[in-house]
Amino acid sequence: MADNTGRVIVITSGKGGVGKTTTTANLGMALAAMGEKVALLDADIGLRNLDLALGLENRIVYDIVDVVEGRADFKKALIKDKRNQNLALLPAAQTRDKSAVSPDQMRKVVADLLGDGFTFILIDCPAGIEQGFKNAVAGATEALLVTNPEMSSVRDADRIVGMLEAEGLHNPMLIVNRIRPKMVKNQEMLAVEDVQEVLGTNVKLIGVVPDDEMIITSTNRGEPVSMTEGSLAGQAYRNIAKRLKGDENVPFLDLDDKTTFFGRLKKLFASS
Amino acid sequence: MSEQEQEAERADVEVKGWRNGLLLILPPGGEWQIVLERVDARLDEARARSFWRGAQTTIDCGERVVPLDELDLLLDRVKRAYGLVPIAIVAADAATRAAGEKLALVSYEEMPVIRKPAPRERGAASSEAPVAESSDKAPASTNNALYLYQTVRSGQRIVHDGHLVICGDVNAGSELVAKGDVVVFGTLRGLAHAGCYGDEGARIVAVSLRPPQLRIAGKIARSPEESGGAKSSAATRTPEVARIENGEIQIFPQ
Repeated sequence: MADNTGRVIVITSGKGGVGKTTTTANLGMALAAMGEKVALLDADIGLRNLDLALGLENRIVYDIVDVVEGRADFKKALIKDKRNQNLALLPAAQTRDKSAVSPDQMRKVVADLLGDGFTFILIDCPAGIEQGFKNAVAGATEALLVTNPEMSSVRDADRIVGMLEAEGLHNPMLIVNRIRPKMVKNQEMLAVEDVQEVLGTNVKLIGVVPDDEMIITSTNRGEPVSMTEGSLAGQAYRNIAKRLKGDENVPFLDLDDKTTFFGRLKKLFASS
Repeated sequence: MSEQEQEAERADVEVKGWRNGLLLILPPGGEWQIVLERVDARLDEARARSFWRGAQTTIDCGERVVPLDELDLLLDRVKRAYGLVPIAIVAADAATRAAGEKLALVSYEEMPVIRKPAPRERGAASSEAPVAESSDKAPASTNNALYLYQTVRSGQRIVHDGHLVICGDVNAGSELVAKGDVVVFGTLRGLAHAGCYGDEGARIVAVSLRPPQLRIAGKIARSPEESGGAKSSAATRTPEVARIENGEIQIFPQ
């Protein structure tokens, strides 16, 4: 193993459908655009999706199970993204299940990737708290929680915080995904502060991503929104990537509803 | 034929594909240890052990009485070394069936009889119940074909030592692997590998050919990098065939 300077971050949530895969794809793309050498590791064996979010599904020849079972070297299995040579994907197998890989084997794969000079390894964790979760967190040294501003998602995230601590991953980072400022304003949706209050102070907020219809089209197209200007969610992900790299001064997006007259007025006064 | 060969013959095992995956036919006699060795030998005739990975397997004991510990040994072996997925047992002996059930297999007293798939209504839901071709006389030669009347869904992997014919759609995330040709009477959106032992003359035929990737023998072809999210809208109307021409996989109207 070469120098161990790379960071290994597991992206997890407990609940399904909150945006782990989307977050993994977008942060990976944004970090790669900033010059980091990024490996994305899909730990969702049997229900893989990260390849779709990145538009790489037709290039899979070998997957992580082929690597741990010795049919392919990890370098052979890694898929280089053509849009950005800094980004590579190690896909999950679709025709197997979580038991095809053990935590020890995951640690070995991660160590190999670190040895290959990747500076960021993002592990896309499957939903749930069973073997798939244990595999995904095995090689990680940091954790990033994704949650939606709704009670069931927050409760599951809270459970995950406990489980991460049991695995030695303290102080996870937090992304509140799919927030709708208008609903928060009308007190129809949990605010970011409410989420933080439940999860406690040792969970560090690193980003807030607004609900954005472009996410759907971009996932179908296989182009993460962080690649495209003009998407608020994409901007949020680029900001999170900067904060991940240690830039604490990146301001949080102003998600206030600017379309109302009052909103515009307030903004006008604030800027003058 | 030498004596040794005769002994091996007595305990020989037959491996074939059938309606519901792989069929392991055990001999009526012969020592269990030799039977196990013959299972290995038969499965190893395919080049790579990983070839069998995930294949649903039915074990036909015939008249043979197989005690629980022997059966356990066999299941453990084929699961570990070859990744087979034993699903059912066929045995005339009630104790053998009970042993199978204890090991989570579905048991049958005799091979489930021929049942021609009734048109239409038997879709994927029926795939649980084994519906067999007559297993007795089915040729185990290279020319055999596995015919499946079902939708192949994401995560399913169908491996066959011959031609593979699917009457139904093959969805994204599934895999078809065949020694011979792959024929899909439906839309092929999953990964297909024809001629998996290296037969470059193998073909992949589908009514609507839209896979992410095609593999024939050692060659791989990717679907062209599509522009935009219109992947699913541009269905081809004519059946197409993929085969190797001039050293590359090419697609022609069928």
